[in-house]
Amino acid sequence: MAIGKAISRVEAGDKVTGAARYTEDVRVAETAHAVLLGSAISAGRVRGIDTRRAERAPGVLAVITHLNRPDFAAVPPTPYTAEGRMPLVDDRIHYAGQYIAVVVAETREQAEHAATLVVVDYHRTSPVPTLDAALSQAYIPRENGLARVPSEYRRGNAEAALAAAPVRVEEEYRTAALSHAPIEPSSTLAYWEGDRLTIYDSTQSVHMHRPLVAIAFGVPEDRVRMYCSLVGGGFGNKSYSWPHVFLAPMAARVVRRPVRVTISRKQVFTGTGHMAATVQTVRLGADQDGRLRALIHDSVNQTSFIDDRQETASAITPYVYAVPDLYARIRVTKVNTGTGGAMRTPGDSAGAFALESALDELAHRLGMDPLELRRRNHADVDPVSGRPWSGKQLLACYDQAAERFGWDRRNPEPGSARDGDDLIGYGMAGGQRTEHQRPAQATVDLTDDGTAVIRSSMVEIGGGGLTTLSQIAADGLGLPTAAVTFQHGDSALPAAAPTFGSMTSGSTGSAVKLAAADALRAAIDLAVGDRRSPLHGADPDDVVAHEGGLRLRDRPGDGESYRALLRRNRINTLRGDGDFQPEGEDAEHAMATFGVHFTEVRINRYLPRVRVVRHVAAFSIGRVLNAKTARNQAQGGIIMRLGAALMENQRPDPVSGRFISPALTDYHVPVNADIGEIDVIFVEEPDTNANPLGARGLGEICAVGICASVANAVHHATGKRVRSLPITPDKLL
Amino acid sequence: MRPFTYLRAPDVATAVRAISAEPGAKFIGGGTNLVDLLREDIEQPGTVIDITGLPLTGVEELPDGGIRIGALVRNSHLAAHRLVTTRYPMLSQAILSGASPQLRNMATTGGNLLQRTRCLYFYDGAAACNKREPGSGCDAIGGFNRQHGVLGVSDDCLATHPSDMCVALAALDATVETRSEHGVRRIPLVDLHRLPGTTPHRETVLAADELITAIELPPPPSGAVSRYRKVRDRASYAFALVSVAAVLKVRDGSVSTVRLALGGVAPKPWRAYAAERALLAAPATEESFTRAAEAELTAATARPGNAFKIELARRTIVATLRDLLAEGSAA
Amino acid sequence: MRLNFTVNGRAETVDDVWEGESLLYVLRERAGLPGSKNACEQGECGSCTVYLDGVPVCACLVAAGQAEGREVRTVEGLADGDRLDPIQQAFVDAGAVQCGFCTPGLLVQAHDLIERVPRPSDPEIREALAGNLCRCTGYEKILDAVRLAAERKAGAR
Repeated sequence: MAIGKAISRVEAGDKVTGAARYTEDVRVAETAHAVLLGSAISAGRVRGIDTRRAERAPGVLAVITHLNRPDFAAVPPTPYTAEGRMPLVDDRIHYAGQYIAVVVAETREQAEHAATLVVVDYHRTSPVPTLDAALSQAYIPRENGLARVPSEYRRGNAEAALAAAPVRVEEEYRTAALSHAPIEPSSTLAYWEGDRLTIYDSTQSVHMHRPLVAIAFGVPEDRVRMYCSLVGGGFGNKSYSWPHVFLAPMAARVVRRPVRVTISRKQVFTGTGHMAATVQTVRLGADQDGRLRALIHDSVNQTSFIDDRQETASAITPYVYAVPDLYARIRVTKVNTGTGGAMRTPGDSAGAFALESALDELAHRLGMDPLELRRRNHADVDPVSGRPWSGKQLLACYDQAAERFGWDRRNPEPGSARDGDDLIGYGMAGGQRTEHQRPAQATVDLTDDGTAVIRSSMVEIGGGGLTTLSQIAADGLGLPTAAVTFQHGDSALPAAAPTFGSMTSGSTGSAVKLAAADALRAAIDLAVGDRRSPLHGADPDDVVAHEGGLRLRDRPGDGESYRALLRRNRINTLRGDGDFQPEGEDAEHAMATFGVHFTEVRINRYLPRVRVVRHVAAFSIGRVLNAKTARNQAQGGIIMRLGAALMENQRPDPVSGRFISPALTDYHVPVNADIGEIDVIFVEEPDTNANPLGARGLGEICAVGICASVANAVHHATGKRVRSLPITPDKLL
Repeated sequence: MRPFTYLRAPDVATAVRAISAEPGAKFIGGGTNLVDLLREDIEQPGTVIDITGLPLTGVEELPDGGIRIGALVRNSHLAAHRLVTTRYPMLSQAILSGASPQLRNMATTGGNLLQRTRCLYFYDGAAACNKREPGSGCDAIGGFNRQHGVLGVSDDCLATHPSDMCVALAALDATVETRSEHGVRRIPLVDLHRLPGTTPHRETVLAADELITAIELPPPPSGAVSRYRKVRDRASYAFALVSVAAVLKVRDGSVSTVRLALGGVAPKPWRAYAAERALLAAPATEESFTRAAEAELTAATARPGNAFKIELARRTIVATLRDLLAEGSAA
Repeated sequence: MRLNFTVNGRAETVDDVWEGESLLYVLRERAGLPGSKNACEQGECGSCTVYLDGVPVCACLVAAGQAEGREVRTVEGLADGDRLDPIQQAFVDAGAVQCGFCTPGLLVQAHDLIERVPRPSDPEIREALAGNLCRCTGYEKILDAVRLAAERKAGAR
C-alpha cells in the first residue's frame, strides 16, 4: 500500500533543481509586459489622467485607462470573481491601490518606468479608513453570491439562557487583517488567437476560473484554455480571479500580442485580498459545573464599498459545542479597502480566537481545567442537524495531545511557572472546520508499458496533491507510485475540485480512486474475456490488482501483467473514469475536521516578547494519505497562524485608509528563528462515511485554534488577557 | 525605476571627481538600500557611481590599538573579523542582529551609515513626508507611529535611523573619515547624522560630493564589558523597536566607565549622554541603572502610538546594564 | 550596456542591458535561468538568493552593472549533472519542499551555511535562514533537511 506512506513528493526533484515551472516562468514568444498603476488615494474619482509622457517612453505599446479601455462583455459571477466591479470600468476609486491604468511595454522594466510618468489628477473624498471608524455602521449583508453562509443562526433563546446562567463571560475580541502573502506574486499571461484565449494564470483552480474569463470577454468557455500546473503558495488569495486576471487578456487584445502581468509585492497586499479584520463579542453562560447553557457570538468584519464579503467568524460556532441556546451573527461594514477574500482558514480561524479565548476565561472563572471544560461540552452529534458525525476523534485528540504535551504538569495559577527571567505559560484551544466537498472528475489511463497516467485539472499548490493522488491511483491498480504520472493544471483535462477549501484529498482524491477502480475493472473485464489470458473465464470479482498486473485473489500464481494483457490485445491505453459527486444536503452524516492545540510560551518578564517554544497539536481528519506531506502541511499551518497570533497585521493608515505596510519588511511573517518545537499527532480513523477514500481535509483545520492557544498561554504566563491580535511586546508591558 | 547613467569608479579620486561633476549623483556600494529606493522611485539620481571597485575593503589594526575599517568592508566580513570579534564583540553583535545574512553579505560599512529611514510614510509615495518631499507635511504624526522616534524628533519628522551597527559605533566613539575635492575630513560618528528639526531631508553633515572612506575606532576601554541588545517584534530579521549598546566597567562597586547608545528611538544613533552622566561614579545597582535610564528619557516625547517605547527603552537599558554587571562580576 | 559575467561556470555576454535592471532580471529574462524566483524585489524574502563571487546575495538588489566580471551560481548550478547536491537531496528526503517557490533561494543559502559551518547547531541554522521566508512555513522540515545534509556531508568526508 502506498497510501499513508511517507514517500517524497513526486515533483520535489524539479523543485530543488530550479526546473519546476511556475506561471511567471512560462515563456511565450513576443510577450509584452504590463504593469498596473494603482490609485494613490482610497476614496474619490480620477478627475484626469495624463498618459502622454508614458506613451512616449521607450518601449511602450499602450496605456489603458477607464477612458480608452475596451468593454467587458459582462460581469462574471461572484464569489470567484474577486470583486463585483470590473477593473477600469469607471473613474470611481474605492480603495488605495485599485488599478487605474495598465501600462504595456516591451519589457517589464520599461513598463515600470513608464508607469512613473503617468500623472493622475484625483478628486479626493473623505475615506472610511478603518474598521473602527465604520463599526457603528455594521449591517447584515443581503443574501447574494458573496454571503457564503447564513448571516444569522439561532437555536433556543440564548439571551434568556444567558441571563439565567450562574456564571458568565462577556468579552470583545479583535483580530487584525491578515495578508495571505504567498511567496509567489500572482501572475497572468494571456494571448488571443482569433477568439481563442490561452491564459496561464497562478490560480488555485483552472476550472473554477476559466468560465469567469470566458464570460468577461464574451467567448464560449471552450474557447478559453487555462493552465496552471504549480502555484507558489496561495492560501486562498489565488482561489479568486482578481482584477489583474481580466486585465491581462484585455491588454493582449489591445496590443495584439501575448501580455504578461505579474503584480508587484505591494499589489499582492492590495490587489489579491486579505483576511478582513474582525471585532467579535462572545457571551458565554454556564453552570457551576462548566456545562454551557448559552452562547452568543457576534462578529463584524470590514468589507469594501464594492462588495459585501463576510469573514465568517461565527459561522462554525453553532457546530462546535453542545450548547442548547445559541445565537450567532455575522455583520459587515464598509471601509475604503479592497474586498477581502478567504484566507486559510476563512472565518473559523478568527472565530476560534474569540470563542476559544472566551472558554479559557470561563474555565479560569470556574476554577476548572480548560481541557476539562471542553470535554464536558463535547458535541457527540452535530448540534445543528442532530446527525451523527461521519467521523470524530476529538476526545482522543485531547487525550493524546495533552499527554504528549504534559498538560497535567500545569499549575493553573497564572504567573506560577518561571525559569530565570522567563515567565512560562501553558495554553490550549480547540478547532473545528466544516468539511466541504465538490464534484470532481479524473481519468486514469493504464498504458501498455505497464504504467498509469492520471488526468485531472488539479493545481499543485504545495499541499502535496500530485503525490497523494498518485499514491491513490497506484494503490488502486497495484502499481508502484513511481509508475504513475500525472497530467494536471490544464482546463482541457477532466475537472478537479479546486485546490482550496481542503478539497483535494476528499473530492479529487475520491475521483482518482473511482477512476483507478474503473480502469482496473476494464482491465479485469478484458482479461477474463480473453482466451489467451491465464485469467480467462474467471469471475471478475475474484481478480485483483497485484504488482503491475492482475491475479486471482486466491491463487497468486495465476495472473499476468497489464503490459502483457494490453499489448496482446493491441490496446495502447485503457481508460478509467472517475466522477465523484458529494452527497450534499441529504448526507446521512455531518462532516467536519477537528483539532486541539497545546502551546508553551516563554516571555522575558522585563522585555516581553512572546516566544512559542513548544506546540503540540492533534487532528482528526480521517485517513492520512501521506505522512510526510501531511505533517509538513500541518506544521506549516500552525506556524502560519503563530504569525497571526504574534506579529501579522495588515494595517490601514488611520487617516487615509491606505495599507501602510505593503512590504514583507513591515508586514512581518514568522521567520525560521521564531519557531520552536512543533509536534503534530494524527488520530487516524478511515472515514468512509465521508467519501470513498476515507480522508477529510487537512490544509485548513491545521490553522484553526492556534491564536487562542497562544493567547491562553500568555494569560497563564503573565495573568494578562490579550483580546486583540497580534500579541506584540507593547501589549505586555 | 527611472533611467540613469551608470559609472564605475576605479579609484577614490575618480569617484570624488565624478560626483562633484554630477549634481544629484549617488554612490552605490552594496546597493541594498539604494536599489530598493530607486525601484520605489524615492531616489531619482541621474547618475549612479559604482564604488565597489575602490580599494576600501581592509580592516587594519591602528598603532594605538584601535582599528580602521574601510568603507567598503561588507557587514558580514566585518562582523566575523577577528579584530572585531576579539576587541569589539558588541559591534559584531550589533551587525549580526541587523538584516539577513544575504543582505549583510552585500551591505557595506559606509552604506550602513547612510541608510535611510524605514518610516512607512517615507516609503509610501502617496503619503506626505517632509523627508522625501520637503514641506509636504508628515503623515506619521497623525498616523500609525508605533515604530517612530521618541528622542530628538521634531514636529516635522518622527522617523528613526534604522541601523544597528551605528548604535554600537556611537557607543564605541567611532570616527568617520571622508574624502572630497576639498580633501580629507574626520567626523565623530555621533556628529555625522543631523536631527530633523525643520529640515528632515538633510540627514547628515556630509556635503553632496563627500565620500565616506573609512571608520576608525579607538581602542576599547580596558577591563570593560559590552553588549548590544535589540528588542523587536520577531526573533530575527526585523528593525529594532528599541536597542541598546552598552559598555560598562565597575570598580569597587561604582561605575567607572560607561557608554550607552540607543537605537530604534531617535532620528540618529542616539548616544545617551544624560544617562552616562547619571551613572558615572554612581553605585552599580539596579536603582542607579533605572535612574540613569530615566535621566535620558525625561526628554522623550511620545505620540499615542509609540509611548510604549519609553517604557521599553527604560527596561532595555536597565536589563542590559544588569546583565553587564553580572557578566563583569563573573569575569 | 553590455554585461559580461560567469554563471554556473559558463561565460555569458548579454547586450542591451538597461542600467536599472537587477541581476535577477538578467538571470531570469536574459540568461534563461528562471530557477531563482522573483518574489519581493526588496531583498526581504530571499527567494532570489544566488552566489555572487561565492557569497549568497539577494539577486533582486544587485544592480546588473555590479555583476560585471563576476561569478554567479544559481540553484540550477548546484547539482553535479544529474547528481543532486546533498542539500538538494536532503530537501527531497526530509520533505522540506512544499509550494517550492522559496526553495531555490533557501537551497543556495543552506548550501553556503554547511560549506562554512559543517555541523551547524539548530539556532545557527535558524538564524542563517532567517532571511529566507517560507509562507507554507515549512521551517521544521527545512531545519531537518539542513541537519540531514550536514550529517551526510560530514559522513562523506
